[in-house]
Amino acid sequence: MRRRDFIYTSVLAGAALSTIGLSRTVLAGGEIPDLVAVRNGDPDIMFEKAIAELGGMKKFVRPNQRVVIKPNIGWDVSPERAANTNPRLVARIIKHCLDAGAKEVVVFDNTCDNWKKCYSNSLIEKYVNDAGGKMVPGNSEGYYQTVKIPAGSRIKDAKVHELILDSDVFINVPILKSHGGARLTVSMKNLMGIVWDRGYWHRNDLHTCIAEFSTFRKPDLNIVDAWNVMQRNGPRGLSEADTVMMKSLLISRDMVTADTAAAKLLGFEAADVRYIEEAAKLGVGRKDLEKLNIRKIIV
Amino acid sequence: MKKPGLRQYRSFAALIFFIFVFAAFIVTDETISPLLANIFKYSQIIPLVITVSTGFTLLSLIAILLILLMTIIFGRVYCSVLCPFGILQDILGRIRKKKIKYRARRVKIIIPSLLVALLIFSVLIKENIALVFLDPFSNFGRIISGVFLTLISNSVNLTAGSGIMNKLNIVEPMTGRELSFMFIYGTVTLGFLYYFVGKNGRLFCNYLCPAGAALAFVSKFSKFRVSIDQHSCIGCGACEKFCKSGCIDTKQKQIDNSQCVLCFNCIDICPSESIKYSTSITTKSIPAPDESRRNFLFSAALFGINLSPEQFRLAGIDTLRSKIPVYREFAVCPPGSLSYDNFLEKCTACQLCVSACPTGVLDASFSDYGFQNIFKPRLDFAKSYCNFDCVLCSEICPTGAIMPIRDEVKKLTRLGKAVLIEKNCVVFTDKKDCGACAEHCPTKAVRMVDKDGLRVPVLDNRYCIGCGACEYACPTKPYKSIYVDGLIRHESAEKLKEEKIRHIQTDDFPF
Repeated sequence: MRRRDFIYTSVLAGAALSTIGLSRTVLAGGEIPDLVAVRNGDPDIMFEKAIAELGGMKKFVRPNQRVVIKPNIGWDVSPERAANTNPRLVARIIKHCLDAGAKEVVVFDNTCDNWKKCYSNSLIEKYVNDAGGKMVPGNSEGYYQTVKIPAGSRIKDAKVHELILDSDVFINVPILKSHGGARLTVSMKNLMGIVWDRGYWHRNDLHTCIAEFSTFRKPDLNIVDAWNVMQRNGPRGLSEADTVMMKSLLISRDMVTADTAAAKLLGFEAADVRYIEEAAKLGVGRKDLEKLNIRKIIV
Repeated sequence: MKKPGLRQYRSFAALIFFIFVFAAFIVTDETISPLLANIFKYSQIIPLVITVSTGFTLLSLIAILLILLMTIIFGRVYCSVLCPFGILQDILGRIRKKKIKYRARRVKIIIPSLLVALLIFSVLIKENIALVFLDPFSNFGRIISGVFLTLISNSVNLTAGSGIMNKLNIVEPMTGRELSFMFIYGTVTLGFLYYFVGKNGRLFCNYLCPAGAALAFVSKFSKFRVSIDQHSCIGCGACEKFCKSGCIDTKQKQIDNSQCVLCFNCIDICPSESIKYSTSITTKSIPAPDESRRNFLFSAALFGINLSPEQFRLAGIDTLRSKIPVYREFAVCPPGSLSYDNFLEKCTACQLCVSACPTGVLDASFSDYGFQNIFKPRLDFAKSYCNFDCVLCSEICPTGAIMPIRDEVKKLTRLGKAVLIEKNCVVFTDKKDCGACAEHCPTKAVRMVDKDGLRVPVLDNRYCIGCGACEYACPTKPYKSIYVDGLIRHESAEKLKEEKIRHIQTDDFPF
């Protein structure tokens, strides 16, 4: 029943989104920007500015909806190491969702290191609980349901965490980092944390799997934490020496747009990162930043 | 309703202690496990003897002396209240039948003598295979960890994943044990125990246990003892039938205090209230037991079946299979265990570290260290890897097989060395990026570098600590492309030092 509901709502949502997309192209430079980029503030403050620019969280979260937030909580390291999404940012997002009337805000990641240690040492667990959200484990196969990926050639199906399937709103909150294999990790790469078997991706052309899986469900919002950024040795990092204080934040409803802009922050072009190229070709989103409506804010 | 007597008080005390020890093998919480482990760390004789004989520690010696002192005053209280394996036998007996008429046998002096000799011999030649099988604490640990933790963690994880439970968020998945040969071994041991307990009571404690044997010699001279009042005794023989350790001779109205495990069944059952636990000394020596026939061999239950040494499954639409089999010369022993010499000499395979390990990388070995070291844990990178920021196993090991190690020392202690098999790796075979090994490596011993438009793994073993994160993460099947070969003597690793990245802060956006 739930799944049918989900499919129904997502079809509706998809339809709604594409209509918005259409009207936007018509009204070029209209109300809702494709990308909001903020600089020089604290993560939570930059988020405040950015979401206001998008018309507030009420545009994305309706009363009584369930919201799932997917930060990067992959590693058992402290926040200064910038391997996990900034906890203050996650907490502020939860606050906005609850203020918009969300019935429940749940947070999870299929972590790489031991999940309990990741949840606690990233401080995300503490901040989420304090903000009124709920941490849910992601480390047991039982939580994951098999879904088909219609556009998939290398990855035809995947087991996805049921919170993604059951929730009304999906907010993707990656942290921008360098990545040994994929070069960098942002929005699309962050979705590896909603699937069960990542090993399959790694041995079957990582870039193509990331791109193809991105056609499965587009997050309603992608909020890229680029406040403190791991510029080398990612995604785990070796020490704080790997990080630089960029004090930036990006929000987009389009993962390709968000990832292209984030790549530039790290000194990459979309062409350097094969999964961004492939996702753009699959129609996941747009990488032609110069043609998009970008709102830039300096705090 | 009868007023609770010594038997009930003893049962209560034993049960409380039992619950703590049981919990230590079940609870896998990082703060609670060491607390629980420390409650009984200095209470188990065989681990204490090993600690003292291999690396002298004053506390352990004091603990042994206290146990001996306690025994010479009160008798084998250790067996009745402090030995979890003894209490487990009592619980099994209770489950089987509320009141069992035991057919326990008197023991000839030769048996405890041999057991004590075996204990001394094992300690002297530093070969503890006999202790591994005879130590009650380790036997207990293997049963609880192998059977109960396996059952509990598997059922918890089944429920945790199923819809309703996780929507209500009642059950969290836990790191536990997979179904392995330890489960079968534990179940078989438990079955044997159940059978013999119901029939012969505390047979193990007087026929096989080296700790019990040692205490038997001490308790011969104990101040407090259970004795029969020669005058009021009506000679009904009830006490003898209900005695767990076969230490009562009704005809002679005598109790062999060396064999008595202080269960106080006799006091409870005696219709004429003729049996007392007191300082009254009846010094009439007891004639040697007339028979001692039955000898049961626990070792029959020793060999289970190794279920799955190499687990792999092929799913999905994998296009490539790796071709070079991994040949690991040496198993990897836990951080803090220093060397095979230290570890294998002291470990009694109690499985406490296996139960507590937060990532579940520690598991009982089968033949990894050789069959004579069966059950002693090693790091199993097919299951998980050693967490960079964790020294839990070293904090709880009761025998010193895993010595305490500081966090910062552990991070630079090399347990093994990574080996890269390029011919298995998808970056080389499929010409596609992967990076899973470098991603997980906490020291950057393996890192990805640019080569021909690809990101290629490069290994520098100066920094490798052998945690196995790379091996666990490596996705190739059926054989891994990177694995860790153990070191028989742990080494020091170098720390990779890099300059802080310099960054010029601009207010502008690059787009």
